[in-house]
Amino acid sequence: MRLKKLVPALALTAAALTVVVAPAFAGKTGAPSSYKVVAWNDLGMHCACPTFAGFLLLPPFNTVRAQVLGYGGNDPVIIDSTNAGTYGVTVSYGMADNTESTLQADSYFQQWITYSPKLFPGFVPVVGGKVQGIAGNGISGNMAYDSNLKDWTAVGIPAYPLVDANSAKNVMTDPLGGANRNPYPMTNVYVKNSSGTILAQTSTVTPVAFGGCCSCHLSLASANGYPATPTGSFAYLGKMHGMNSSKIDFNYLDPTGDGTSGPIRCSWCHWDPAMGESAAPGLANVWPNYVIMAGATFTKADVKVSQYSFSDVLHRFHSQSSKVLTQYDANVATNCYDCHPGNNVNCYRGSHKAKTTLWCVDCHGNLNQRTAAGQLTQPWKASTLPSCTSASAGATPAFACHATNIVGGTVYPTSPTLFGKFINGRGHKGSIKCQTCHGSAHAEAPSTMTLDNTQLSTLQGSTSYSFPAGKDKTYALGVCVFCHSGKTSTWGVPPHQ
Amino acid sequence: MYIANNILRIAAALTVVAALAAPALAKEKARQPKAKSAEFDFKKTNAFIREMEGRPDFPVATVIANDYVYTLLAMGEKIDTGRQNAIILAAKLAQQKDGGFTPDKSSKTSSILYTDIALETLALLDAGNAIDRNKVKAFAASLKNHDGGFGFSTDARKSSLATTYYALHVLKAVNGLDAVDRGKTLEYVKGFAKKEGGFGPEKGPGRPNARSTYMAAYILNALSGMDAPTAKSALQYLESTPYLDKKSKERPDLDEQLYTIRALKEINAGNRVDKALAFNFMKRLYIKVNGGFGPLEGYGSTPDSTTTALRILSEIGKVKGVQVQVAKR
Repeated sequence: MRLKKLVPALALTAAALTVVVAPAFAGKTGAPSSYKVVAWNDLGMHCACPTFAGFLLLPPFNTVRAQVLGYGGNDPVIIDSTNAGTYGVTVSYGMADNTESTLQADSYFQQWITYSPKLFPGFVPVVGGKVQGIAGNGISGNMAYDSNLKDWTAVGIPAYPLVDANSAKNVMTDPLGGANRNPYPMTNVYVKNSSGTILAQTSTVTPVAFGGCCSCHLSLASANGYPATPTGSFAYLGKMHGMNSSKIDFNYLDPTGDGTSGPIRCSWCHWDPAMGESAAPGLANVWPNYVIMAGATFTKADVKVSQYSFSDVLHRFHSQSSKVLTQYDANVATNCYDCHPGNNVNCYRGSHKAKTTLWCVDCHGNLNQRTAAGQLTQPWKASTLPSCTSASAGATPAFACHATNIVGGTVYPTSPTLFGKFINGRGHKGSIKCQTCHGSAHAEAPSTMTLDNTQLSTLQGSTSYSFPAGKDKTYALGVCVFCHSGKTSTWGVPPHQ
Repeated sequence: MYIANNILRIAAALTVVAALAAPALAKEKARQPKAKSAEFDFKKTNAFIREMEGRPDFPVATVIANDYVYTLLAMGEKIDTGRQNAIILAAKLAQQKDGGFTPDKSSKTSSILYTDIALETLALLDAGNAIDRNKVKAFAASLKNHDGGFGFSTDARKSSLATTYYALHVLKAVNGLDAVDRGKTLEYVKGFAKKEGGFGPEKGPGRPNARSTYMAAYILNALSGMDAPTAKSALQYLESTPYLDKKSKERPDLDEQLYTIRALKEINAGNRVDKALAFNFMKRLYIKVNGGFGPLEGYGSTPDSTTTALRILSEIGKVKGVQVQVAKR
C-alpha cells in the first residue's frame, strides 16, 4: 500500500527535478566542478548587553545566511539541501574572532552563561564545553538550508563583542568603563565535500555591539538616588515600571522562587518576536512557581501578559516621555543612535550613508511616525520594513526611493518580485538573494567600513575583471563572468529579474 | 476658477511670509571672523554640520534647524539667505494655533520644549518677530499648574523642574514673566534642592546634577529669588563634579559640562569655570575623521552633540562667531 503511494510520488519528484535542475545543468554531467559562496549577516548590527543579571533586552543572537553556487557550465546552479546531498557537500560556519575560550572567559559573557538558564528555562548555554546560542547553534557548526528563504542559515549564533588581541579593532567604547571591544567579529563560511575538503569559503562581518542605554540610564539612576551601576539602573527601572499602569515593580519578582529577585525577560509579558516567540508566554507559564517578594505593592493578579509589544512600549515611552525629552534628548525620536549602537560603532554604514544624507528615519520613519503608523505593534515583521521602492508605512522620506525603476541610469522592469523587501528578498533569476550581491542590510555595498567590503573585494578581486569609472570591486556583485563563464568580465548592473 | 483662487491665495500667503522674514534675511550673520583653532579642524566641523543642507526636507526639524544655525554661527560661518528663509518658514509652520511649537511638521502637538528651541533659533537669525509672540506667551502661561510649576504640553501637564525652566525661559524671551505666580514657582523650584548642594531633576532622594542646578538657578534669578546660601550650596556641589574637581572619578558628560559652566555663571561664579579642563574635555570628544564631537568619550559624533560642544567652546571663549544667546536643552 505504501509502495503504491510512493511510486507516483517518486515519479513526480523525478519529473520535478528534471524540470528544475535540467536547464541549469544542460550539457553537464555529474557534480559541479567548483563552488562559490557568499555570506552575510541578516541585520546591520545586533545589540548586546554587558550585563544579564537584572533583565534581558536581547540575547546573543546573530544570524548568518549564505548562498552557494555550483559551477560546471555557463549558468551556475543554486546549491540547496537536495542537491547538496546529491553532490556530497555541506555548508558550515565558524566564528573567526569569537572563540570558546575567549567567550567563556569574558566576564560579561559569563553573566549570560550564569543567567540565561533563568531567562530561558531549559536552555543550556554551554554543552560539552561549547557555547551554544538559544537556537542551538554554537560558534561553529553546519548551516541548515532554509527552503522558504532559499539560503543556508545559522540562526542565533552567540556572537559577542570581544576585547581583541589586535587593539586597533577595539573601536567600541564600553559604557561601563571596561576595555574597548571589537564589535565587528568575523564569521567564516565553508563549502566542504564529504572528506572535509574546503571547496569554497568566504568571510562576513557578524556585527554585534552594546547599545547606548547605559549612557543615560546610569545617570538617571544616580539622579534618583540609586547607584550609577547596572544594578542601580535596573532597580530604578523597576521602580519606574511600578509607577505605570501595570503597577509591577519587577524588582519584586522572583521567577525561580530561590529567594532572589530576577533576572527577568521583558518578553515574558511584552511580546517580542526577536526571542523567536509569536506571543508573550506570560510569567506564570514560564515559571509556574514564581514568587512575589515581600514589600511588593502588586499581586499575582496584576502580573498579566501585556497587550503591547516590547518594541512598542520601549520606543513609544522614550519618544513621548517629557522626562526623556527635556532631560536627555529633545531629538530622541530621530536620534536612533541614542539607544542603538552608536558608541563609536556604526550600525548604519552602507552605501546609502556614503552617497547621500539619508538617515534612518527616511526609510523607517521617526519614532512618532512609527508609532502613529502602528509599525511597533508588529515589530520585526517584513510588512513594517522599508523596501527599495518605498519607505515604511508612515515615514516621510526626504529622498526618492528607487521607485522610478531607474538605478544608476539603467531602467529596470518593475514587478512584485523586484526590489521587494531587501532582507530575504530575491531578484536576479528569481533565485539570487538581494543580500548575496548587495551585502548585509545597513552595510550595503560599498560600505563605509572597509571590513564589510572585504568579501566583495575578494570575490571580485580578479585582475581580469574591469570596472567602469567610479566603480570598483567593493561594489555590489556585478561582474557577469563571476557566475557565468561565457559572459563579460566588466562590472555592470545585472538584470534584477 | 476655484483652482485659480487657491493659487492666488497661496501666492499671497508666500508673499506675506517673505515680507515678514525679509528684515531678518537682510542680516547675514558673519559679524566676527571665522573661528580658528589649532586643536579642531572647524572646516571639517562646518562640512559635517552642512551635510544636512543636502536634504530635500531641510531644515528637517526644530532641533536640527537649531543645531545647524547655532553651530554655524558659533564658528562664524555664514548662512545663506535662502536657508535662513527656509528655517524661518519652517519655524512659522511649526507654530500651532495654541502658540506653541512642534518638533517637526509631522506633529501637531506643541510643547514648551520645542517652543523654547524654536525661539532661540529665530533669535539667532534676528527673526524673533517672524512669529506671533503673544500667542507664545499665552501658550506658556497655559501650562502653569497649581503647584507653581509648568507642564510640558497640554497633554502632559505634570510639572517638572525642566518643564518649568523651559516655560520661564520662553516667558522671559517674550516679556511674559508677569504670567508667573512668583511665590508659588519659587517654592516649587526650591523643592528640588539637594542636601549635597545644587538641585536635582526629581524631588526627594537622588543626587543633584549640573543641568538641574543650572535650571533652578536660572529660574531663581529670573524671579529675583536667588539668595546667597542657595548660590553657595550650588557652588559647593559643582565643585565636586569632574568639571571643577580634577580628582573626580566620575565620567564627564558633554551636557553636564555645558550646564556646569552655565550654572556657575548663574550663581555669579563665572570666574570659577575651569576653562582648561573644559577645553581638554572637548579635545577628547572631538572626532577627527569628520570634525564632529561625541556626547561621551569614545562615542561617535552627532549634530546634537557637536552643537553642544560648540556651545561649550563659545561659553569658554574658544569660538567667537556668535554671542551666547540663551540656554536650551
